[in-house]
Amino acid sequence: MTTAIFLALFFGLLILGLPVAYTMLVTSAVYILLAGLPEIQLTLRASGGIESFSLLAIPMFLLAGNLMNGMGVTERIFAFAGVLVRHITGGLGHVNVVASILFAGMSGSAVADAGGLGSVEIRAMEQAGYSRRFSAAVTAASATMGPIIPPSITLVVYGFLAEESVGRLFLGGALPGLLSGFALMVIIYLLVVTGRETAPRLPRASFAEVVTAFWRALPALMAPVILLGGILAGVFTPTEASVVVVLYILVIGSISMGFDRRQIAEALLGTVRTSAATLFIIAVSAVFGWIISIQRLPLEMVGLMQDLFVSKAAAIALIIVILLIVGMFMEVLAALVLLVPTLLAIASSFDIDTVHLGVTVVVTMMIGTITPPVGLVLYTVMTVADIRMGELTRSLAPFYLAMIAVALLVAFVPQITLFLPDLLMPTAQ
Amino acid sequence: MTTLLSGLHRLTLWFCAALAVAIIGALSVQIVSRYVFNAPVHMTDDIAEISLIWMTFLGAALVYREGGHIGLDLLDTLTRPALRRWLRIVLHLLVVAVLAYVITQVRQLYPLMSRLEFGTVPKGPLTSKFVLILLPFGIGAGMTILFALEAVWTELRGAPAEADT
Amino acid sequence: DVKWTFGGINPPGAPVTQASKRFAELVTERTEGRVQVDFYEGSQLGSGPAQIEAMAVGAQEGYISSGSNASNLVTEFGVVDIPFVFEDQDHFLAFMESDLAAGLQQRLRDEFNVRILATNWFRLPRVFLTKESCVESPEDIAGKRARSPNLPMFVAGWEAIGTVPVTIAYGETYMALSQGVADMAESAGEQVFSSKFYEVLPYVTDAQMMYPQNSVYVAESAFQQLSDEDKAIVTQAAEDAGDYFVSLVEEQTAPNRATMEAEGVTFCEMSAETRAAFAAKVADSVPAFEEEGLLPEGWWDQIQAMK
Ligand code: NA
Ligand code: NA
Repeated sequence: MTTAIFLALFFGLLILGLPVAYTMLVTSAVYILLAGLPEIQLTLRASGGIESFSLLAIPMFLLAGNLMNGMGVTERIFAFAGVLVRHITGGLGHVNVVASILFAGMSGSAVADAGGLGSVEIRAMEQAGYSRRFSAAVTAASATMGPIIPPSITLVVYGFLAEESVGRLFLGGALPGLLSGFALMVIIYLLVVTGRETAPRLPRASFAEVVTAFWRALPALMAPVILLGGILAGVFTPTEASVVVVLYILVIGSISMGFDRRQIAEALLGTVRTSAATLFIIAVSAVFGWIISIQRLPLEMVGLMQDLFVSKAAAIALIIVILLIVGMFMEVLAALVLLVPTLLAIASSFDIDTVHLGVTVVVTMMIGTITPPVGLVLYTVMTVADIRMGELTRSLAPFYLAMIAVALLVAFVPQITLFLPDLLMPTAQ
Repeated sequence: MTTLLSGLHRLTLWFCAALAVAIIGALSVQIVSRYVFNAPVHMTDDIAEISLIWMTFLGAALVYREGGHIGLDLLDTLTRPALRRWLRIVLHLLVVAVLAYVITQVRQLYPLMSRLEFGTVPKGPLTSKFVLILLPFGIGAGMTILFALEAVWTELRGAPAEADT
Repeated sequence: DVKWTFGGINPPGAPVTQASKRFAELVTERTEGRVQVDFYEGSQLGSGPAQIEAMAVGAQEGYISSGSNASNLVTEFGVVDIPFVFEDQDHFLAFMESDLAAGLQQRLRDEFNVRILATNWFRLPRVFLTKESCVESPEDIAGKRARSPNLPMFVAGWEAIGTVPVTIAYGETYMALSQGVADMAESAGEQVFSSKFYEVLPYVTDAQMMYPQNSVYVAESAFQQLSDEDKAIVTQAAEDAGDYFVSLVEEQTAPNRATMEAEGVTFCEMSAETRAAFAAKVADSVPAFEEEGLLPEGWWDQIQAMK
């Protein structure tokens, strides 16, 4: 009964237009009172919900994006990308995906991609004449590769929970990540070819144009090199890397465009607003997550379905369904903690490899980050692009299908995941 | 009253910007002290985390006043204007109620949290867990209540909500 | 009948999680259902400090994890995190049974509503993990960047033995180690395998840097609601589950070690002289610990007298 009230209240308030963060807060408060749970947990959990070092990357990558926009760096990157692929059907859509693949190689966070790189991509695509909803949809979909392609904070957490080799998990994520990138590019191509989306196209660039654009973009193109080099050489952690990007952009922006105090201040204030809105949701979702944990809701669901398993294929299909549903309602890391124990039990009884399971879990759960009602990447893109949820999710529809197809492929063809780990890091047995 | 709240809004916005700068500064000091001097400063991670917490909870109040929080807007096109106005008022009052509840809990947590320390930050009455983590939550809630009541007042007077920064 | 909510922070397969579930079963069984313990593994109820704070305000009945977690409330519990403060396991046990430790438990109960039911969940002593060779003297790790949790006592301890501590959150540690942000780490003996740090740092030196254990914490307000009979049953169950924990750790030690050795990991002992050399360095830092408020004055000598 209380669970029914919980769901009705949550969706009711959301539909009436109460912001997500306050909907979670009100729903949690009402549920705690109705179910007789310790009341003080509301404030205790929410106030401590963002006590985490890795979240610092969110404002920093947002600021990096705002600064690149404000200081004219983005335009140069996209001018360069433009001369390379502007003649291919789907043009900047593909650039958006490839940029995210490169970004995923240095970041483990999809929100950082959507918030930082995303604001750059959306602005540039809009300036190039792409519709805002298409730009936002491609950005949201491609950001989900962040935690699949290594390095990945999510896979580190899974490795900890499952006592599995993080090295093997990282290698396992590489091919499925590239596969999702490829699938997204196929969708972009199909959408443009069938005329569902317009992708403004320019004639192929001359060699001189390419050289000029390359030269103008060179300082910006060096950023990933410095970053990756810095991370690989152990100069800084991925979280600290976000600050290095900010400083680097400040320097190259000031050299090429001049130190424009007004632009920098505006970038800073925009960052404060966007990151506060995003982080406030994360803080409040800690209460939400606590309630869901203490009521053992997902585990009950899995337990019920466990009785239905007849074959390995059915088990995998059910795992995918559960992950999709839970992913819609919960933040990924919180859901991992809840589900991994049960999933491991199921996996071992059906002889499913734990690395394969981990990568499948992450690939599938990432879909939930771009779906309502709880989707951090979705919200980040909505804020960054200033677009309404309905409009964005409608544009995302074909990408959802592509991502579900990739998840099923990864789930049912273990070789996609296990090829690289078995080749490069074979286990003892 | 609105002028006063606008002043508070502007002041807090710049305070939050200063906190963002503090995050950049703290993490830069960490990297430089570790790699240039091989003598890492430990407080920097804590300073960055605390700045993030303050920025989030105070910033969330500002975003509330600007109407910038993420949510669905299905009913904007569906219902009659008068009904929409009453709906907005009810939702603002709901936020006031839940945040007032939060503030009573922040007070309840004072006896415990004021005795606890946070990470490697030096000990002192101004660096207890209460001041560093719960106070921003409470102040943010208080400011949001003010802004919500302002919005209710504006709705009742029938004037469109002011959206300045 | 009462229902208690207990939490942990360790993953499902970990011995401490299995033993915590055993504790929950024993309590329910032996009290014939008068006390039911619901155990939530893997930080489902929040981080360690968050769960301990919840107990202090009566919003959670129990928590089972590291004994030094109590230092979140009573700072002096952190003394067990001073490296090489104890000569051997017996010395550590003598401290745990001393008046000093009893005084700390009393303060935890009276000032913070947290009772310690059992401290006998002994883990394996903390080892050094290094990249190129085992640690044979303090010089071997002088100036090395050592991964530290963001706890004042850990940071000060690493400094005292001549390393340069780098605070890195647990979740970022594996990546930071593989990228060389830190050169070395420590780990409780039984966690070397599950943390996977050995993949990056394949030299494991049994330094016995500290003697970690887990404690069973219960909210005093909840405990006092039980009858005297049930209080005794619950306390005994916590200790029996501790014995089970120790047997689980022992059971896993040899096969885990064999697996790691097959993957090329080298295990080394540390001589008594080397440990003494480390302990001497730490002793030199005692005034600094006292100045920073990490160690109450006079405690060092009192603890050393317990050998
Ligand atoms: Na992208
Ligand atoms: Na979702």
